[in-house]
Amino acid sequence: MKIAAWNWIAALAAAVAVVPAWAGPPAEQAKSGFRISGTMIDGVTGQALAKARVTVTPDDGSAPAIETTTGSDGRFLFPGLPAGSWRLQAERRGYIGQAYGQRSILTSGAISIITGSDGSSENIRFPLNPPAAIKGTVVDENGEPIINAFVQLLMGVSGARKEYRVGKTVATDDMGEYRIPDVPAGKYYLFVIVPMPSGDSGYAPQYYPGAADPRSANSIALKAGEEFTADFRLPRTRGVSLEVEGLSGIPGGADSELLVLLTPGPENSVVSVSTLGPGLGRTFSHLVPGRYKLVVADLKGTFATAKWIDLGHEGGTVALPFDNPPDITAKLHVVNGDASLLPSAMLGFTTFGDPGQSIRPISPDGTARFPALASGRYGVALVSQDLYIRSMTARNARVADGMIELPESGPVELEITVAADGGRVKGKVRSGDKPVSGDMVVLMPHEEPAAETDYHCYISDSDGTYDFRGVKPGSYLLFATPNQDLEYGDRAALTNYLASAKKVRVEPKGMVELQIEPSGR
Amino acid sequence: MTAFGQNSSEKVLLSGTVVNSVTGLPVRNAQVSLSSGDETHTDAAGAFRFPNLEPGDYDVRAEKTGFTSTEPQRVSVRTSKEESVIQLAPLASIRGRVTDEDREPVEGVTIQALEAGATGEYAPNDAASTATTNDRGEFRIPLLTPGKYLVRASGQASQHIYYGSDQLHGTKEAFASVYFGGARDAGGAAILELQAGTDARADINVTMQPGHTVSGRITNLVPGRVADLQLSSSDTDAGENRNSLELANGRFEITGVLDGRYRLRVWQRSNDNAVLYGDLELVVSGRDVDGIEVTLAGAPTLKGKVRVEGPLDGSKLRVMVSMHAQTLFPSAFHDFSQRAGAGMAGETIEIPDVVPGRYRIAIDIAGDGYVSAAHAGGTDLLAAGEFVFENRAAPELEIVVRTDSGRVSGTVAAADTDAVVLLVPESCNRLPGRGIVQAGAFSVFGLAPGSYRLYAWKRPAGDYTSPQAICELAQGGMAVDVKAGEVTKVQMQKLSEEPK
Repeated sequence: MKIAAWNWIAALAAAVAVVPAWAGPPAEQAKSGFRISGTMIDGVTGQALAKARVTVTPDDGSAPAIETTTGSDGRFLFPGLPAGSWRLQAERRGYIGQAYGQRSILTSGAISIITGSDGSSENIRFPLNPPAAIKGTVVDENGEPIINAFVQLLMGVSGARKEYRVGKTVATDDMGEYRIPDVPAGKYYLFVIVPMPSGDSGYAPQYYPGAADPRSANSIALKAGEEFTADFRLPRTRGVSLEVEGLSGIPGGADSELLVLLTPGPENSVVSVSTLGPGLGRTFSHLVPGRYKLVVADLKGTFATAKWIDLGHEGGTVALPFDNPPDITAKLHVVNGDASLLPSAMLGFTTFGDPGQSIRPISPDGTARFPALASGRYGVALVSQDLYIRSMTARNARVADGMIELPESGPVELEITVAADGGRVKGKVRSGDKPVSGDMVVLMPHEEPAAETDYHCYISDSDGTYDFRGVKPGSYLLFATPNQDLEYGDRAALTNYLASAKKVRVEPKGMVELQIEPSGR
Repeated sequence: MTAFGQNSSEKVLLSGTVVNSVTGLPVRNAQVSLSSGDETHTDAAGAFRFPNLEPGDYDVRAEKTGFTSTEPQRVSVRTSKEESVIQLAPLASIRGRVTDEDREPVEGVTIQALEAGATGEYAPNDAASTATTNDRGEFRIPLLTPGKYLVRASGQASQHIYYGSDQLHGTKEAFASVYFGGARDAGGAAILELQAGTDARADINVTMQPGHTVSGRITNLVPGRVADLQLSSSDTDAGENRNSLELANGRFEITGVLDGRYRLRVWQRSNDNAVLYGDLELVVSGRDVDGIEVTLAGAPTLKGKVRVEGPLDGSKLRVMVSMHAQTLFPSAFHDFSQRAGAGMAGETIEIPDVVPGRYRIAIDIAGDGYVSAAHAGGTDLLAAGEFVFENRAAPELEIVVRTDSGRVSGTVAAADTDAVVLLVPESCNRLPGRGIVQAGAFSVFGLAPGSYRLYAWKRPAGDYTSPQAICELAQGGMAVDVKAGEVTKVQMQKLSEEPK
């Protein structure tokens, strides 16, 4: 199935009712009596898994899920299905709920099961992975437990590019111990802060292993089912303070004001070091000098404004309100298509690693407003099956390669031209005569510069099918690889595949059909 | 020669160590504070120092997370005082593991440590310490005061874990709540006795069964006010099912419900703070139940009439009725579990906002009188001690107070004014009479005629108001007969022994 450039957009797209643009011929649909069958196994031991709940759902959402439970031999069987494309999912206590083909758990990609064309829907081996866990202790320089230290897990979310965000936060108990359960296999960073220290000194935040600076942090590669121990010893620090003064301008005043202090983390991530809610004052204390982003937000999430601050060894003061925070109005025009498609789409702003992103509906007159975005660099994405962004211009902001740089202040007017004349590239991945399922099929723009949203990816179906629709007309390169961890939005990471890639020219509303062989096997 | 020199020569030093009363080891980083406001922390050797104190009396207190907080000790510091020792008693903890019928760990189970009463019984609606099992089915409840505990596993296994894929709908597995020891009821539960500084173990086995979903709508909800709902199978079932309620439209959904007969209760406070209540009985059998409709209305007011009988004027007697719910209500609504009302004899007593359920009832008389009869509907409260009302029509209380009560006067040899006396009715169907020993003498009045057991204690450890405690005390002590309108004289040679 097609996977989206950003994981969160994929989740939202699933929530927005999407009418399938294409369905198989009626005669084929009417035929039924196909089967999806297989065995559920433990992804680590390979042993059959009993008592797993398994469901199949049509990929186009046209019918509710059908459910079964595996027997003691781990077998599951869905008989009497019509021909079509299906999502196969399983869950079991003690395992991570998963769609079939999600080799990297943190991607939205999955292998669609195709019934009706060949036997690829039968005898599927479906590995379900046990989660990993991280545990450890947080102590002070005397070895005394630190109670209520926050241990944050930065998890790499795969999409067009891997990005790190705070996935889970747990607190240490009375013995200074913590445990982060139910972590999927993958690469992580760990970060500890002590939000409310006792006494007149605090603790400096620390990355695993014992690093004050995120650039010295080591990532942790967790295997499925593994239990990893990460202990921390935090030195006491007096640190410096950051005072926030003035009125935030938030409706409801200080009673609904949330002050969040972020700082750059490893691999372009942004981590939160402190939060002041209503009644907790407006002084951040025990801070290490450095670069911080102060976000002032409304508890209801209807307002946010932000500013980067360089905090020196003397501490500092920041005055509210930040002048004239950015207020973005986007105006969308449709060319070569039906303007009534706009309200079925949504417009999104994403920032790399920063949780301050937003997605909004588009009104019938083609406008979308974002009154609450902080300054910074955002990707602009359209959640739609039929439309793509052809070009963008902005007043009071810089636009390039599908990204926009929002200023700290002033209104921003964004003009977006979207088109419905996208082409289609489809075919099968085959190795000799055999269909290859679960390969990553990448369709990338031939020429630079290109927006990240113009890099496309499809996980080949059980019968080897791939299918890209609504592709912006132009020249592309196409290849397939078993490497599902590939950051396909990062042109530098794709260099090795370019030699074996096929050139594809996508015409407006045109269709290209191509059989490809996987590269790099 | 300076004024400074003279002043500093008058200052004194107070120093010492804080030690763990069980291990004898020093306690580092404990906060030591004085009544003067001075404060310090102990070092790695458990030592503390207050170097510049004015001579005088100080209350010294040491505190640290993980230790019982103690009363301040009075220390007289005329000259420098070193090597004082403050003992801190460590708290206890309970840890364990919850597994299913296949010995697989169960994650997300709610574990409650419930303090068992002085005599071992467990009072419903008492506050509890809670924990949740982790991915290995393990839990730990720290910082418990030493004492007797019951441990209860309830709720559901956690929702399944998802990353990046859509979640399947609802949790289909559930289990019936169970106490440590395997009992379904508090009465059969094993009691864990926690000593200071110990880590007790309580492993619990549960049996997973199919869980169903109960859903429907609540009408007459007040918009914008918090509401709560509870689905319980019995009075001792707090109904910790995972539920969701949309306050805007009253739609609710309760997941993980086992087959059985239930009562669904819904509470809310109206804008003028009155209690709104609604309930409904339902049966779950083999599948989901939808379309349940519960209507909220004002909670009933319980009314009672007091009649006075006897030779004396009883119009000045004040009657107090207190009710303690025996039905386990959810923790968010604890305040509904204790209700009370009072009135003068001959008046009508009103107890507003009584949520239907099972209640224990206690009637106290201020003045020289006793309750000779009490009924609620067809229930004889003196015989039963509690009553039930399960529908909106609350029964009327009928209370008869007699003025010809008995009195017990006496002396306790070698007792000072700190001692209290307790007269426990042998029938154990009413609260004990109480009195204070002053100059070796006491007098307890307002007693119903009958046989009693007398105790005199320096300082009683329990409150001895629960039926179990009273009935246990009715087995011991010194026998005393009380006659209507008469004074019984007694002499006690020594103080009674406190029950364990």
